[in-house]
Amino acid sequence: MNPIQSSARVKSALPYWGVICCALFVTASEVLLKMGVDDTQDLHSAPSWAEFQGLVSGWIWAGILCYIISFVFWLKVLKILPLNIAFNLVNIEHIFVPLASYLFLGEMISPMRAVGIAVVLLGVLVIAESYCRVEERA
Amino acid sequence: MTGWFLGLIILSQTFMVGGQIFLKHAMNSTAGGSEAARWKRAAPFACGIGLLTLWFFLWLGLLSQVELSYLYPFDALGPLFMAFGASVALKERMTPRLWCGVLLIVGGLLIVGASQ
Repeated sequence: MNPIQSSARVKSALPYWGVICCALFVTASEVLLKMGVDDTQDLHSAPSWAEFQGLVSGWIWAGILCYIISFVFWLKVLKILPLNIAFNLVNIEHIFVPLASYLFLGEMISPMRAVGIAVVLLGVLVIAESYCRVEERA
Repeated sequence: MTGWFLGLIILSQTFMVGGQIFLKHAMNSTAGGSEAARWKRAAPFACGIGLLTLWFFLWLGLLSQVELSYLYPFDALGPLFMAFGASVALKERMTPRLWCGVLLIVGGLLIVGASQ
């Protein structure tokens, strides 16, 4: 493979890595926020104070940090991909979030939810493939 | 569900789609050294962040009124709204294959919502 072909391949792979990193950081953010909220659940008798305590929780701050990182990746993806394709590809987070909930929070995935996740994955693959076709034609 | 509540849900999705369109518009514009070029990029970026902030707080408000399992299926409207919004505002081309992918995602999200 010559260097021009190699650099073109790396460039065309970049949006995909961006989308995956964005979805992974959103997933991490959701899990961390859930852990942070659960951490401070016993303080819910006083709502306003509980919300303040929630912000103090390290999990919440880590969740916010992950969300900001995911936003940076999102902006990089937006720069390269059409909005329609980027927005739908990043729906892969709907697959990562239940998986992470199962792995890290011990939540169960019902058969019906598994079917829904599989359909979302199919939709993401169809859109990714249509983007590849556009790239090949270009 | 009241028409008022449905209207708020549609408004929240419109804010989200509008915010993303402004962000995309900002990222599309080429960065230049001049003051005008910087404003050309900063203004839509600020509008995008503003609309996404409105969406976030409106969605939180809706979540406080109803259960997540009730509201979650409406989140599936996002890809559909985005498909229309991006094709109208950004002139992005929607192919039949893209529509197929969007409808699969919407269908999958509805099934996930129904499983809650």
